[in-house]
Amino acid sequence: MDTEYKKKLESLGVYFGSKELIQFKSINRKKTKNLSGTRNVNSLGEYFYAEHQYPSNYIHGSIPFDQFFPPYSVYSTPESESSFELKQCIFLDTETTGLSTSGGSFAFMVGIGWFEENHFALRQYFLISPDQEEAMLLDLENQLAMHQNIVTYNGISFDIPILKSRFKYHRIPTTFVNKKQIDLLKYARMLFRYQFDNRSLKNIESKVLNFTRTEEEIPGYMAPVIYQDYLKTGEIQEIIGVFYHNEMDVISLAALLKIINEISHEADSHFSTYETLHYSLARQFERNREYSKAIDYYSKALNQPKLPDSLRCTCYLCMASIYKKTNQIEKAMIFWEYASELGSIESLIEIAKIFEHKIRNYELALDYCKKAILFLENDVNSMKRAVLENQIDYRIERLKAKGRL
Amino acid sequence: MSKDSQINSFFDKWVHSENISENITHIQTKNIFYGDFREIPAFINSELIISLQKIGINSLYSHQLQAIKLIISGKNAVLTTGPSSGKSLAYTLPILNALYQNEKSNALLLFPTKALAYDQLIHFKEYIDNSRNNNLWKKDVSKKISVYDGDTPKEFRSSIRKNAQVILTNPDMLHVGILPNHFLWENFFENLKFIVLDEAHIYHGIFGSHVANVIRRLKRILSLYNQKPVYICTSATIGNPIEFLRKLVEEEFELVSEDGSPQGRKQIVFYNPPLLNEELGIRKNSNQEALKIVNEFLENGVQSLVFQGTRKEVEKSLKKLKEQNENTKEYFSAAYRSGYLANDRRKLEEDFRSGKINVLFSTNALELGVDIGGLKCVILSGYPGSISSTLQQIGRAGRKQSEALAILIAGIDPIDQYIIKRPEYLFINNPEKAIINPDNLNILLEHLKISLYELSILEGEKFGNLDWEQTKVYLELLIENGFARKSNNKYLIFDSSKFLNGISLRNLTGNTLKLVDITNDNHRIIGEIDYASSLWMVHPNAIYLHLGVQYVVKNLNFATNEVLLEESNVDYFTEPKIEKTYEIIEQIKSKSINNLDLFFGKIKVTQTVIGYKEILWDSHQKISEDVLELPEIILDTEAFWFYIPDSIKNELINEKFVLNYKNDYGPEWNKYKNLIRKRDNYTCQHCGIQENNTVHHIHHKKPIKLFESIEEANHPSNLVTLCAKCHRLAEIQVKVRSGMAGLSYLLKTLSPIFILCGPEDIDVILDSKNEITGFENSILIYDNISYGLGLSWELYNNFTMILPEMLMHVKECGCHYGCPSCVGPVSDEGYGGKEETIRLLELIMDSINGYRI
Repeated sequence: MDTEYKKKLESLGVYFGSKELIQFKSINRKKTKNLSGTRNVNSLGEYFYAEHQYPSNYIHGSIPFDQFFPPYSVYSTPESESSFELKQCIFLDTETTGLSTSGGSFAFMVGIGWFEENHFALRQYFLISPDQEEAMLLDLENQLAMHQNIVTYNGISFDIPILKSRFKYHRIPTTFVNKKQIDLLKYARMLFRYQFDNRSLKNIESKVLNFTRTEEEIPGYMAPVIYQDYLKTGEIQEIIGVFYHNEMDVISLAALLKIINEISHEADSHFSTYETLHYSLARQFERNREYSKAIDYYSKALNQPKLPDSLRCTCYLCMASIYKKTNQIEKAMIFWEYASELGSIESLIEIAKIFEHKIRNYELALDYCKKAILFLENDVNSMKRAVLENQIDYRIERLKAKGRL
Repeated sequence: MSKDSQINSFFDKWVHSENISENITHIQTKNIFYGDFREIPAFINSELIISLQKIGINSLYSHQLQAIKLIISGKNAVLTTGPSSGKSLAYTLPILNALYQNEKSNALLLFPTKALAYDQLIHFKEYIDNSRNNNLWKKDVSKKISVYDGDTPKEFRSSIRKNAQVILTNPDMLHVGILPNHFLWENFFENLKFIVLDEAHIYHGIFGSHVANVIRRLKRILSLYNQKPVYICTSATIGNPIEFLRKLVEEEFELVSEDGSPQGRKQIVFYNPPLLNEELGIRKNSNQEALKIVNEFLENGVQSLVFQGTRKEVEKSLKKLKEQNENTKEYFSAAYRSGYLANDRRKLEEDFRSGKINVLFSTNALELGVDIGGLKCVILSGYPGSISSTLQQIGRAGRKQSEALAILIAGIDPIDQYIIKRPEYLFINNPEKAIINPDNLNILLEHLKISLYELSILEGEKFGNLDWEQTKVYLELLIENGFARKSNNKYLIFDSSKFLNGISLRNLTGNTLKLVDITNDNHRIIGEIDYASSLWMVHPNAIYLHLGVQYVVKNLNFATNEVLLEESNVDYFTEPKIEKTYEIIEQIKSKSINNLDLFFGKIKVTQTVIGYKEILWDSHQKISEDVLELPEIILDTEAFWFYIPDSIKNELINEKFVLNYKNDYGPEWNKYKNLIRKRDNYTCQHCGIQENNTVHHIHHKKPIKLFESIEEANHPSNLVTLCAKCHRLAEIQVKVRSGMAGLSYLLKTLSPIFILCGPEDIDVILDSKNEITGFENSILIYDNISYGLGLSWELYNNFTMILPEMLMHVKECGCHYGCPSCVGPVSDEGYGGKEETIRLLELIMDSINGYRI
């Protein structure tokens, strides 16, 4: 080292706080000897992982794993044309040093799981110190290379970009950006939006998989702080909690994929358990402008005797609006009538519109408006009431004027 | 007669009116230029040509075409044509062309201020809105053009990143927001074809040295995507655009400087305020003269923009003008400066552009390309400190079709007086060079660290123009200090989760504080101020003017970064008392030119605001003084120093130079003389020798010429008995000190003209008592910028060349004993030593030239 530069630097007082950084490295190397796992070395250095095998008789909550085996069944996800073999999937979840994707955040733990011939294999990489990242990424890349699909929960906007940025940072070539991403959050949102208010993996896990985590669990958002503490003190107590959390996340991904696949294959049991499923799928198809499929699922939803009236009413309205859009006014009128029987004021107004503008029967139109006014009195939502009242009054006035002509 | 020609004839009358024309030293007339127009070239998309025509652009100026051709052919271009010559169209057009052609050519535009970015965004939208393409296209294209800065709401950021094709931002945001998160900008960087640096001359000094390193970082990221974009810069006229950009961007540029835009006739008037006291060289104050002229112009319906040196001057002038025109409601005047909130500034610009504001007092904040239109009249109260600034400010006057007037009113500083008497200086000389030092160790290392955080550095990779050997030394340094590690031929940041990138590009001294108005229990943010300025501008109990309103500072809180202000109508203002201490850290170089030794090295300047004075607005009388306890500001910088050798001092003694003075001691001198001799027991008060045959001398501690009356000068407290020998020594001390004071005054005020910097960029200290340099009678000149910019180094190298120029300037000055325009006013410290300064300069020059003294 050039001493002149060093002196210059000291006189400038540029650097401080570096001693701490160097220290923790030596501390935690000692303490983490107690972490059980494998220390391996590849061309980029040393890395660490823990491995665990789940035999075929393992049951995750209410999901028996034996149904996964042998892992050659063809899986699919709703509203997607393609299908894939279970064996091609790798399940991935990361614990990171920051909760946003902004630069500098990296994964200090990466859990991956995949199906072997007769067991589910789990591997959790953990950075005993941050300088193991490169070697870890290289091994991760090798593991990922053996699979075609990456299954995550919110991976598209979180885990994948962070990992991708780290591969770029270290200039390690990677193929995983080109792999098919199966983000289960997307399907949880699509399928359970109307069933559960909270669609976090943990909530879906307890409601859909009936799995409850043990006391070892540490909430995921705590992970960055825990890792920072670990780097300072070398204490592994809480890191073990993070291992547990990460492990369960990966296992639940596999279990949840099974449920989603079953729904995609229209397994009846789920549709009877979750009465909003047909409706959810119908909404999705409607958004995709696949109207005949949407109508199909709305009808299926309506065929469920358990369907609550509010959803039933919405189904009628949605179907009516599809028919209106596709210019099948008569069919639309039928579903508005059904909806109006369930108290829908909007549908009465829609019918009135049709009578006014299309059929030009002002009297009938006026009748429907008056009926709407009557309905309004039962409506508790005063905001909505005021708005609708104005609309209807205006329409009534106009109809009266037209009727006179 | 139209209003415009009425004003023109008023200008003519005014210039020739009796009490004005006698103060005018020169009028520089720029004749009307009809412009050099060219056809919009055929390679521009035809739809775009129609959009341009719709907003009245049917042709291009020659310089625009020249630049566009360079850019299209992949060459880097810099435009240095005048203010409002349409420089921005030269880069906007190629970028728009790509958008219209549906090419995936992304553009990154950097502006020194947020406001300029928003200005340009409006222009982009204007072109798009006037396109004949359908609305869907317009919506689609508009989505591709965004400002992305610190004010961009978080919820919009990811959508901007996704759609971005044209990003308008500032170097600060690039530094802190974009580059560290470059992985999120992959789509943008993958096709980055244009990089624009608007108003690039702003990136000089420390700020520029930072920006140069931000560009080095940007280039590393671009190399990841194999992008080599074209760089397009605009700049005010500076002396060294190509050389400067070679340092800032580390690329070669083609210069486009021939201005093809039309210009109406313009007169530049050099105005020297009349002398009040010829003997003392006191002239009327330039700000007062400016006010007088503004008032006269107001009465004749002329809108004027007045440039002044400091934020305080601007507010003071506004206050005065408002008082003078209290009874007339039809005039609106305002002040414009940094520290105002962006919205307030936008409003002022708009109101000035629309003519709602008749007089605007501004600091150099309005020098930048903020669109206020071409003006009829611009007044520069005092020389702005550099040719470049002067041209920029003068350039604000000027319209494409009609006449304009620019008036430069000289202050009393030597530099002002030098220029007012030699107007050709402004037009013959090259404007100042913009100086940056990207390799300033402190700045470089910070950015290298951040760059390492952004992307690992491969062995052999260069950082900017540094070669690998140098880069390696710095990287090893980072390793040694625990910030980096090396693994597999790559340098990596040690722990990226630990890294906090908190450095500011604009100042090295820390935070920005919010100015909060708490009048009537409100809590309204009215502006901001940087940490270093806050200490002397808004210390506790300071009177602070903002938008013409007077506030008293209630609290200056560095924990919350807030300054609490309350409206106040007291009749005084405050002036901070600043104490500075100096310490030489290291002598790096020295040389002897015959008898004169020159030194160069590193010094540390510690500055503390120790108190403040309260001074009445009207009489400028000091009414009170108070003590403050505020943190000190430390400046580590470079300095040049020299001392007056004994040979010169002895020569002064030998010449009996001291006795050349013919003082009038007054009629009762003998009476005083005997009284004091008796008081002092006929003993020399310096060496203790008693009178023996010859009568001892009586010495005036403070020279007679400093007193208004001889009675005061001869007051016993100012008299002391000395023997002839000691008397001569004492007089010599005074003389040398007077000469030294005059010389340091000259160096401080005139050397900026020779080393091409602003007067605020250097400071000069007279160390007569051997407290800093280790030599008696020494002068020290330092760069007033952290870690230096090479200014005192320039002086160290060129000292002998500027001495004759300074000597000539002093000799030519019409005053008697010295005045503010040459060696400084007659005062306690300087003793107005004009004669002494001249003799000292002559002796130093003799000494350098090797004449035996």
